[in-house]
Amino acid sequence: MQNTDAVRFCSACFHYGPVRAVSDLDLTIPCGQTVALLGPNGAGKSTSIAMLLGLLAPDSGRVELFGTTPDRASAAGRIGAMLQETQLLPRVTVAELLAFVRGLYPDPMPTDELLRLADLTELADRRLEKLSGGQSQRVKFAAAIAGRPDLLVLDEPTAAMDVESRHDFWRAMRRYAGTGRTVLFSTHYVEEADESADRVVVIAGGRIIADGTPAAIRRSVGVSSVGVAVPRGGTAGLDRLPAVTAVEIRGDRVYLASDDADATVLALAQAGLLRDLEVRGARLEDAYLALTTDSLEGAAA
Amino acid sequence: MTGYLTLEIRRLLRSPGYLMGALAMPLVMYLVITNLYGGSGPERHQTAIYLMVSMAGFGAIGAALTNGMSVVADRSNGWLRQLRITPLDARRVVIARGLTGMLAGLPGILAVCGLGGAVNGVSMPLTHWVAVIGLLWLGVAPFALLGLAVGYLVSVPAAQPVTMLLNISLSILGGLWMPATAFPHTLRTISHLVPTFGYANISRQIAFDAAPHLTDVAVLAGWLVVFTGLAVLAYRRAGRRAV
Repeated sequence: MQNTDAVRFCSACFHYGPVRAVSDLDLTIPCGQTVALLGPNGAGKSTSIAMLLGLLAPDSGRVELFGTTPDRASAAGRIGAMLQETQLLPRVTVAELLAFVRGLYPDPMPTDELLRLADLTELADRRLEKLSGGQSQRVKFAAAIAGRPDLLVLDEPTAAMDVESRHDFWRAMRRYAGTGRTVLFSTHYVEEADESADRVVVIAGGRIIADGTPAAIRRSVGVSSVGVAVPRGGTAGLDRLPAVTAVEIRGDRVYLASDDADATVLALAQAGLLRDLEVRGARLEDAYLALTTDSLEGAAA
Repeated sequence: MTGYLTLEIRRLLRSPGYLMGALAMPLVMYLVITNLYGGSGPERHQTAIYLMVSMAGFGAIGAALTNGMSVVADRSNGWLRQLRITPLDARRVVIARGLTGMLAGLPGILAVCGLGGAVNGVSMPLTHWVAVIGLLWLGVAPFALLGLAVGYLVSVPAAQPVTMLLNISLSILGGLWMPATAFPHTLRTISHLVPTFGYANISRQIAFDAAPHLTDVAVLAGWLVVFTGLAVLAYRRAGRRAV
């Protein structure tokens, strides 16, 4: 079992009526990886996750979890998930819900550890309908990991959280992923993918448009920013420097978007324009925007 | 499965409004109808027994069917999808839910029988009481499963009216509101095939010190099989569509 992959999509397609939500999705996730599924709203993230969990059957192609069907993997207690737009069961306490979920799995997490990890110790006797949005998300997270699943799936888990809750949430998630489990999460917060994932899969229009480590994706777009003080002789000609793709003036500084920061900086030095140099690598967000914009333009063309 | 059953029973006991509602209707109807039929002496006693079984059954069936409405809520709030990705399989979900529905039917049976004994002067040997109450309770199983099937199958806004329609039509056709012997011939034949008829008739036979008819038992058991299958299929389908 150890050498099978955790997740395998093979040419999976799904339509809602005439609308293609997911087209020919091919994606393999080896055991132990933490993967972020990144994409704009309507990109096909939730549909892909629903197919992954066996909640939707692909129109064509197939989905395998640990070398078997999603239904069998669920039945074996290997899957835990936090789904979007799920409300918690009314008239039950946090402790009762978690005791129930733990009882379903062959090797559940001890209750104390679970409550501590999800920061729920104080709320154990609270009824689920009385929780705030952030508290509910923590309970859903706890319910997802209560059975110590080999694959943890989180569909936009931080959508309803404030900044501090998000920070605590990802710390708890990384602790769980650190125990060697496979985690797949979807988000539209780029920085979450950058900070918490080993691998980022960008999807738009139902297709994968980029797949790699956060660093590799940043590099794939390859745009760095080179900033210097505005030259005394003005900015004319800067756009003709090697590797420069765009020039932007902000206050008394000029920022050059560059495909090759080394070549641009060298040319600036030769021209005697190096004053207050600042070089910044591409942010994942820039790369993501570049990728998704290209893909949308491609689709419109 | 016991974990799921415990969870659902807790939720049931914490919905006093639903349980009270399940009690009120048959109690009021029982009191009103026995006084309408009236009569005196042994005839009055027979009517009281007959109607006690009918109304206890009517209350139990209503509560068991209505229990299906709680799975409609599970569907719309996403809990059903969450359950589907746990190791809990469809059969065990449906059985636990069915047992919860049966439990919801129990207060109505006990209340109407209590009222029958205390207010309407129904007297039977203790063994008959136990058998009547026990069989009314066990016999509610097919209706609990039918309620679930509706809850899992029918669209969310339609589930409530469909449940109510089933409750009323099954109660009338099965002779719970008026004896099926008063029906015209064709309707009487149909009535015998409706699960409510056999359900009440089994307990009625015992209450009148006679053996239950095997055909009634067979018809009720047949419906139990049909509704169980339907509920399991409906659950699987609902889990798949609820995205």
